[in-house]
Amino acid sequence: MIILRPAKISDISNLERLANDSGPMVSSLPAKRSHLLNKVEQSITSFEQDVDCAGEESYLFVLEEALTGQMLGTGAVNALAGNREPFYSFRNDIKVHSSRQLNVHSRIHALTLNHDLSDHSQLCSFYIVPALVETDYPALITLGRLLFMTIFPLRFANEWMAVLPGIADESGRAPFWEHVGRKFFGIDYNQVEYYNGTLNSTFISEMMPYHPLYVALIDEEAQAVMGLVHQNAVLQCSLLSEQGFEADKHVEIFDAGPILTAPRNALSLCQKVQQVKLSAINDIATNKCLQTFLIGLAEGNSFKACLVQAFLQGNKLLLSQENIELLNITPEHRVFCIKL
Amino acid sequence: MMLIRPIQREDLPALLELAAKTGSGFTSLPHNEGHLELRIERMIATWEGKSTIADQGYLFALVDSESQRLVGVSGIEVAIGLNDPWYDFHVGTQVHASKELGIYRQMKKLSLSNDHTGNSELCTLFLDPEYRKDKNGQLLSKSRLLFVAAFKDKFPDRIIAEMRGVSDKHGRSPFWESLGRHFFTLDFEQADYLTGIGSKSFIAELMPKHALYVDFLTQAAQQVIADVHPNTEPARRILESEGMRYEGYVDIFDAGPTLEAYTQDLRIVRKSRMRQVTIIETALLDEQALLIGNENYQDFRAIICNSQVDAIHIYLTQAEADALAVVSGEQLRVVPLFEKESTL
Repeated sequence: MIILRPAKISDISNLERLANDSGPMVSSLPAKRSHLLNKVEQSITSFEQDVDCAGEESYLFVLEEALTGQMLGTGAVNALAGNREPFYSFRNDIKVHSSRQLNVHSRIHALTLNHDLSDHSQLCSFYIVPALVETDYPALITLGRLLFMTIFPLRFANEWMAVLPGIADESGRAPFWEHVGRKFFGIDYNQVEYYNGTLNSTFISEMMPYHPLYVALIDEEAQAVMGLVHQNAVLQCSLLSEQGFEADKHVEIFDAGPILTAPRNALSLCQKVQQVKLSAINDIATNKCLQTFLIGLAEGNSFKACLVQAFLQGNKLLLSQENIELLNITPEHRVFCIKL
Repeated sequence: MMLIRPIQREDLPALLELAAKTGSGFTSLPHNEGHLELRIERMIATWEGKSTIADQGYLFALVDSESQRLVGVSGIEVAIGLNDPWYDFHVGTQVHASKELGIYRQMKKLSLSNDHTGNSELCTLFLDPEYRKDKNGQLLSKSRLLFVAAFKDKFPDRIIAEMRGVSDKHGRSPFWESLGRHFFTLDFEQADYLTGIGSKSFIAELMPKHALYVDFLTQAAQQVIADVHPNTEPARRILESEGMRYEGYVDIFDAGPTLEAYTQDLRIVRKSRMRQVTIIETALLDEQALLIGNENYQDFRAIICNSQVDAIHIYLTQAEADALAVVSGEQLRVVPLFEKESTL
């Protein structure tokens, strides 16, 4: 059984390997051991703390084959996107320039560096091994985190968001970076993404434009990729979109990838999740109508999630005796489910 | 003899005829009778002391004294930007640096500014092509500065001149194509014409309010920032020789440079001296060309002449004195026409 669970110190080596594989696309998962160690320690502390207001917590989950201990993916949630330092994005504003005398009225788009999203909770560090991309497990990582956030609402803000990777080719050339960021930094895209994952955001305020960038003046190749998602993240994008996340006015500052946002209460998962009791299936007929459910198990401050074949009957979720045993349920567990 | 005098109402037909010869790219003398008539009235009201500082301006006529023909004009606005805002771009520097990353970069940026509000402006210089010879251009341009020197208290302490920027033979400005075009749907010539008839501030309402990074303009546009049109090169050299210089401001449409100076630093203001008129029968010519003007505010005159001067006197023929509307014993303001020539 593959489960999504909080990361532990003993995961460091495996995490480092995954981070290496994930490449520069996942800037919040840089392949730097000391950084990963901090991330795991911060996550452990975050889970242990009793939190009644979103703050500096960051929760790191790993996707693991429970039997073999093989690590298959990662996903994290920052309680606030910008806690000790601002979270920067470009906001695509419309400026109206009008002159009655000249009978001209034009709407001009301009990208403004801002930190409006700092007080959003942020999904980040999503990665899954290539072999599982075509399965339901990406949904486990993403929806599992949303379920966690739903079950522990005090730990998170009311507005959530996720930054998706934008367009870049295999050599690490991102058109938006070439025509925008490079003018200010003079370095390669991979390099800046590495800095972004490992340094605090002071360098962004030092290096990025203070003044709004008029979109019309940006090279057309870069304009064309604004708000477009990298093909590797299309799945992630559609998972979030199905839940009610929307790409609104914000794009990522380096590659102009979309930033999806949603108010918690608008998310379909938050509306449909229900608390259930688990029971073993005891007739064959039920066996034939099994559906895939995401279940989340909360015990104290801890949480894990997995996918099961089950049948919902009132507030009872019926699943095989074998699965129930694998889940290792204790009476203290609260169980939540949602049909995929 | 060529002489400078204040514009008069009777000059309107000749001015209109002159405006027809300017062609495109010359914004401040549009071929528009109503506009020119108002301009003349505004100038006359200034000389008569009837207008507020915001409306004050002077327009001088270059006249061939034999034919009485008006062959050129040049002007000064006393204080710009007090009615409609005066816009230009300030070319500034922004440093982006991060110690942590070991990166230091200077970025050029353009910011819309009203920094020249209240300055005087040298403007509207046009000389009939037939008369582009014999220092007529010098007389037309520099006599204004002699007027400023004579009547310093009528002018604020800074003076500017906008130089026409680069455009090709079709009137296309690379700077406009890279920037202005995106902000509204006029072409450069239309925008230029609207500017000439006083609608520049309307246009500026449509221009970018935020600073622009020069790196986001096309190479062609970046290259012409603060460059003048080849035809304007002589005018630029004249003003620079008089102490005006580019200090980082350019036109918002074609990026032509704004030249500027403190009026007290202008060569003609610093170096001009008073000499008493002595009438002589035959001209005594010197090597040195002089710019000579009277001190009569209402009937200002200026000529260029190689008259002899000594420590007290200037020796003029009757015809020269007539052109300057002075009689023997009156004081004239005199300055060498060129910077490199010796002082008085």
